[in-house]
Amino acid sequence: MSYHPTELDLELLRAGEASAAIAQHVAGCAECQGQLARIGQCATALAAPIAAIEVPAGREQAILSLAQQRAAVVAAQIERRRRPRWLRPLYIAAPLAAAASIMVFVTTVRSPQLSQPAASAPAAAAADLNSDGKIDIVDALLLARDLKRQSAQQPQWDLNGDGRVDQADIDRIAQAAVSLSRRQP
Amino acid sequence: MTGSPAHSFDERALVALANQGDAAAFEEIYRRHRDWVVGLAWRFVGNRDDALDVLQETFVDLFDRFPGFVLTSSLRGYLYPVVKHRCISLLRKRRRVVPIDAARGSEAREPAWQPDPPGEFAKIIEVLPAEQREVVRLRFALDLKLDEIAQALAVPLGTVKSRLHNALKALLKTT
Repeated sequence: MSYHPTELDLELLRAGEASAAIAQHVAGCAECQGQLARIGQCATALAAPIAAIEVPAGREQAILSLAQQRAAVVAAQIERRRRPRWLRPLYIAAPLAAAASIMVFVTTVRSPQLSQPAASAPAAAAADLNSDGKIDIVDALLLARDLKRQSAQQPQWDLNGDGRVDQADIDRIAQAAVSLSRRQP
Repeated sequence: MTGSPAHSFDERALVALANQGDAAAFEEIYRRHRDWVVGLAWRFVGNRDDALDVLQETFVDLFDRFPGFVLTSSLRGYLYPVVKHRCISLLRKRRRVVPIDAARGSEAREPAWQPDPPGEFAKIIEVLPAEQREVVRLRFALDLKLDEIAQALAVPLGTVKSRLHNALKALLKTT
């Protein structure tokens, strides 16, 4: 670098977010080192720590209970969305015995994979990122980390077929992983 | 909880799990951000009981966003404005005095911030425009990245950079 970095560049350097070129310049420039030190003093002064606030046990338990209740509501909503539209009247119109037995027959003999569109055979292989023979939350984690690092993406990770590898594909793996774990005894 | 695998998960993976109704993911999200949220609330409201109320309301608000919550930058970028607005509402409800912005002669849009930085920095920070002051606090006091600040304030990243740059120029000029 033939010019001094800006104050913003120096702040990014302080936080470990600057480029190697900026770091190299500052390492050899006394003026910039002085500016960097003053930014550090400011950061230290403003980051004055506050005493840890302990959350009382009763309050903590109340919040955690709310979390569990909400999780159950979300899980129920997801489960309802997975049901085919034509299956929903079953739960309301029980006296329809003939039609009901046909539906029950169909739903009990069909392959489990068919009820999970995210886990068709080719998609299942692609979703098993660590090739351990199962789709679990570790696969979701691996794809999430890959997206964060923006490393080269494999086309087969486009699990929903929208032409992109993104959060929606992570959601698809998580959906498959959670539904599979619920089915296990 | 530390025995649960959720505690080692990337934030995106946690949100994905929570969107599927995974109870451990909800709990992990709470535990990761509890201290940060209650500490931020305390900075705004200045007392423990109110900070705890804001903590609970904030997480109720967050939990209600699932399923369908979309993580854009980070959870802290989402949580900051939620905490701030709840603190402002609480202070108004309790009819606390909101410090007047003397430089502008109008009611400040931000509540007081605690604790005040020591000595010379307190004076320097106070004369900054409100937008720059908030960016400086988010950056140094709350240790947010620039994209998280942009999400927290709902402004473009370039605006955050501009405000922080100008604030730093003012700070360095006077130190």
